[in-house]
Amino acid sequence: MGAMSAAPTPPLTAPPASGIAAEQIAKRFAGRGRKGEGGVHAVNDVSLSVAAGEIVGLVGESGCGKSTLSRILIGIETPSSGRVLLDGAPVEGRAGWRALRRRVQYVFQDPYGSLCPTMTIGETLADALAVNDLGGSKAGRRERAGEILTQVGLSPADLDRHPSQFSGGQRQRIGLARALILEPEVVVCDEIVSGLDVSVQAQILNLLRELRQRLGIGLLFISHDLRVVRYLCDRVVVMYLGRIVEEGDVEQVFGDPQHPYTRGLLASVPDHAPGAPELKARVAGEPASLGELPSGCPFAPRCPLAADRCRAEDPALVAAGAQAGAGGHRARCHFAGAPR
Amino acid sequence: MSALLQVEDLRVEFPRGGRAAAAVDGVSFELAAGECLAIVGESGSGKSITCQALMRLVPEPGRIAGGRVLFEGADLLQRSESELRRVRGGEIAMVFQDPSSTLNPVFTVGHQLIDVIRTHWRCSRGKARERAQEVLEQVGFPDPAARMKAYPGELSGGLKQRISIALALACKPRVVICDEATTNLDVSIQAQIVELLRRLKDELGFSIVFITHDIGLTPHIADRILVLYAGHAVEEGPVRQVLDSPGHPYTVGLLHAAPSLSSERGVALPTIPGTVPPLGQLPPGAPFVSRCPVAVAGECDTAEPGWTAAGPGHRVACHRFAHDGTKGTTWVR
Repeated sequence: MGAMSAAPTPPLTAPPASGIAAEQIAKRFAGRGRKGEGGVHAVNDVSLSVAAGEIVGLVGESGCGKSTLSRILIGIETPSSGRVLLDGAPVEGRAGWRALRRRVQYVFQDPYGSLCPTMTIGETLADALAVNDLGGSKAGRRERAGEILTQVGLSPADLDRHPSQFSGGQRQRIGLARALILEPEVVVCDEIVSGLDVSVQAQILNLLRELRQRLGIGLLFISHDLRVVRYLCDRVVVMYLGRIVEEGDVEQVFGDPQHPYTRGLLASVPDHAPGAPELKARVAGEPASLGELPSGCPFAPRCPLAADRCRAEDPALVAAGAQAGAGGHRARCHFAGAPR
Repeated sequence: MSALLQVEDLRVEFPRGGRAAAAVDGVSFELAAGECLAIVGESGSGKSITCQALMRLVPEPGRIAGGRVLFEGADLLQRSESELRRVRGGEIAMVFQDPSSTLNPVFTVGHQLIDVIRTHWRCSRGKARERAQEVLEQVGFPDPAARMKAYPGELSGGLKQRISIALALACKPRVVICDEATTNLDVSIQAQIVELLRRLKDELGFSIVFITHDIGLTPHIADRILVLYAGHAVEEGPVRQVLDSPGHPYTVGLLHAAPSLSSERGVALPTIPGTVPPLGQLPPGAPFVSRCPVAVAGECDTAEPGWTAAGPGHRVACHRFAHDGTKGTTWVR
């Protein structure tokens, strides 16, 4: 790392009493060298939380670490440092992670690869109950599977059909049903609408809003589409090269973005609304490789504002914006809040 | 208007259950020199098949069953295979969604560019090299000589797509067809590619057919827009006019279903019920009738609607629009 690394960032708030939190998570993948040289820092000093009933958007471009972070949150990946908390208590040991895996569920991007093609929908859903010793008898599990299908807008008649008999949008509903059947507190949705046509995307977004209201579940909604995130989420976390560069209430971050990367992303959003500004490529070039992070601010090489200080000193994530503090609006930029 | 490319009543069929089903049915449009036309629609709308048909590249067992594709006045569908080969990649070039499958991984960028140039221009290797470096510079590589030696695998997705664009532009085409050319790119890279295409179109004067499923992109690149639904053209016009006062209920539905940065938060998005009918199972009457919120029984389910003018260069194929100009059809939430 660079000589001037920012001090670790404390989480803004205490972990939610009900829901999941990550505290100062770092993940380093070792390289091929004998002592692990050539490795990458995929995630660095990231704290975030998703309370029950809350929808948190996680945005950033390919390679920013959003998938690695979400995999750490469900225990598929172990962090190099930092900890994961469930309902305010650190997750520890086999039993702890086992409990977490039931209460935090995951829906994958690809609805074709994530469902077993040889199992019926009923078998897939009942299986989720069986591995967790839930649902009682075989008949009980099947009944529960039928109920959950109704909740996501399918019908119990679909229990005996195979994934190949469903469209992409319907498969995404099945993926959601498999997550919801365990009555989780938080569901991690990894780009679940990116492959869908807009009319189907709208149906899934409406379903997510409805499920949050009806079941009070929290969602970590990972997406690269800022239009969808702004529409659906309560809070948003923007990541760049493994770190949080801006976070806060959606209205504040989208209305008064403090980090030049967030502003650049917003200028890149293709918007069709009347009066929407013309698309501008305000973020030049491409992200640096995670293996050779520049010293100072990792965004400096692409930043229109970068000054000498940015190339020498890594900024910390600090309160920013007009209503800093109130909505937890924070940005990692030396120029946050400066006139532009 | 003297059109550079004129598509008339194009029909592409695929066999389905012993019968021919139309994937593209009676689509017509024109493209002027230096113009960009966006073609939008959801999966199964026939936008990619339409563009494959322009160059007679419809995959088997599909076949072009009717229509004309006039390029500079001559029908491409009547040309011989060897004549067409000169047009493809020469006068009409394509940029596809996935640059990794466009580019050959075992040859350098320079090798592939020189190959394309010499196929079409029959010039010396030295001349082709010069042209390759020139076009690499045009697509934004400041050090073309160094890039010539790179293999596709050494480049990121965004850079690979720039190379695909360089390959398409290498022989100075009159028309460039971009089939979801920015779809898999990160938004900041997508913005860079859109800016690049916009600038090159103005500088070099070629025309673009820009196929996309993201209606949000269209006002940022296109002059006009053509909306396809289940192989039928349902609305066409100047892009801003179509987006601001759409006439066809399907266009209205698409616009409402797509969240924008100014959508109201906390309310349900209006959705289009159901899905596009499978190929060959289109109901009689208007193609959109089975999902349309304002369809009238006895009319919309019997006859296919013709075009109704909605403004200068703006037309809509809808019975309801023809009667009462149902601008801004309201969708039940």
